[in-house]
Amino acid sequence: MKIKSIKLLFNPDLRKIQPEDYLRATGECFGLMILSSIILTYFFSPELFNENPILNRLGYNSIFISFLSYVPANYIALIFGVFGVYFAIHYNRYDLLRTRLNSSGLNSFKEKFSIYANLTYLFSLTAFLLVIFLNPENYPWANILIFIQFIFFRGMVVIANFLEYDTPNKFYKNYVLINSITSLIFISFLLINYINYDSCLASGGTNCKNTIPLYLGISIDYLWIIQGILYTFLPFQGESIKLQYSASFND
Amino acid sequence: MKTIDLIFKEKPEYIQPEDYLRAAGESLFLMLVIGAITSVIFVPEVFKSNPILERMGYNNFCVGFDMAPATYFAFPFGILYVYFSIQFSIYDRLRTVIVEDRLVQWKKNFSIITNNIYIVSIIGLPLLLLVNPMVSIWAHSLLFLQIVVVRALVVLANYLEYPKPSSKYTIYVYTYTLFSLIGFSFAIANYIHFDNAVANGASIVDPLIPVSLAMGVDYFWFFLMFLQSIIAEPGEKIYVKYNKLKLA
Repeated sequence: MKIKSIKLLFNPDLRKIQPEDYLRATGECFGLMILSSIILTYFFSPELFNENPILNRLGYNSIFISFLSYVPANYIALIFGVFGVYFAIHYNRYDLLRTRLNSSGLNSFKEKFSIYANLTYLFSLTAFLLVIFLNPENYPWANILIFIQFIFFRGMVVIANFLEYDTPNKFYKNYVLINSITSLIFISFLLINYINYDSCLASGGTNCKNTIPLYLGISIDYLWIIQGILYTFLPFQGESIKLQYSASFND
Repeated sequence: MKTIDLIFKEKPEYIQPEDYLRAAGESLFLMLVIGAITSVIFVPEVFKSNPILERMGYNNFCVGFDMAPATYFAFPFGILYVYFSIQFSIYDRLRTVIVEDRLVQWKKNFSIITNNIYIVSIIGLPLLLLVNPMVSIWAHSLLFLQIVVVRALVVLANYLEYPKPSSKYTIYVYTYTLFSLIGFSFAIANYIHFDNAVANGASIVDPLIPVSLAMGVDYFWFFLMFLQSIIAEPGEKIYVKYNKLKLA
């Protein structure tokens, strides 16, 4: 399996653009962001695996956000994260361009929904990187709310991209349905755990724990991550955009 | 504003690489303004005491976005700066390949190499928001200063590709390159001088470079950066033709 990110940055084939390549590059960068945060935390702050604010509230370590905010892991995570956002912006641009280029066209509701969902997702993705700046030790709510908005808007963009297909297959339909339900349950679980933990602390509790049973919380969290990996690395391949270029000073 | 045009109304029929460089400049300007306003409201004390002021004797424009919460507001514009800068590099490289017949080999190589280096260098901007001067003044400043130097090389390479630049454009490019190098040298000299003086027991250190001179060079560099969209002459437009598909 070739690394897409490097090729797309330094030697892209701009005469044949496959938007899904950019989606895969986004996945690579976000995968490396998470992997580097776990590995660097393991070497530099291993105590965080046993004690951190997210673990206290959820009862388990979320591999997606638990270790993104700590020095020195956050420096490397930010580099991969910024490139991930860059590729995500491109995926959205090229996907929208392909939608416009397709002569079949979309009805106005679907087209508008697709455009707004994709644009909102770009802002959401950029905002998501702020979790790297906002340490959950100091800002537990800001940290988790940024993650929650990302889960929500990602769910919306998956639906929007699905609506662009005239005849989606059954697997894709099921994927979108399951992903939407998982995203909503995941958001609810995070909110319930955080609200109840704060209530417990406010009422003087000393041994506050997660409200959602551990096995349920972990299952939904990991199911959401697996769906993200599936969407990124097994993209539902659309048509490639073929281009020819010329350059001149004339308008 | 090019930033708004390229985000919401990008034209797929043609690409003007310099538009992306201009949008990057606008993003940096917004980053500075939003950061400064936020700092004035929430952490005004940062303008009275900070590690850059101690070493240079004046407040650099970037001081405005160095402290939270200004960092959080400045960050999205930093992402825009990275996006537009990488786009410029990729499209400028594409144009270099398209017009290679009229370029001598070294100019072509210089352009492609500087564009590739810029793609790596530019990541320093969001990173310096995380590595603020209180974390490490050297790492923070070097992340910014390397962008200053690499960007000057990119602007120079873009100029060298241009077939018949006007004298105004020529003067601008050489002035910008010179001021980028002088600004870099002044900062390094002041930082080394400060570290040596502190190591020798000094508690208050006067900057090595006269404040008015260093500040003049620094502020003039920013002014030159914003002048770029007015003075720099854009190269060829890249016209794009889509095979088989038609624009809906």
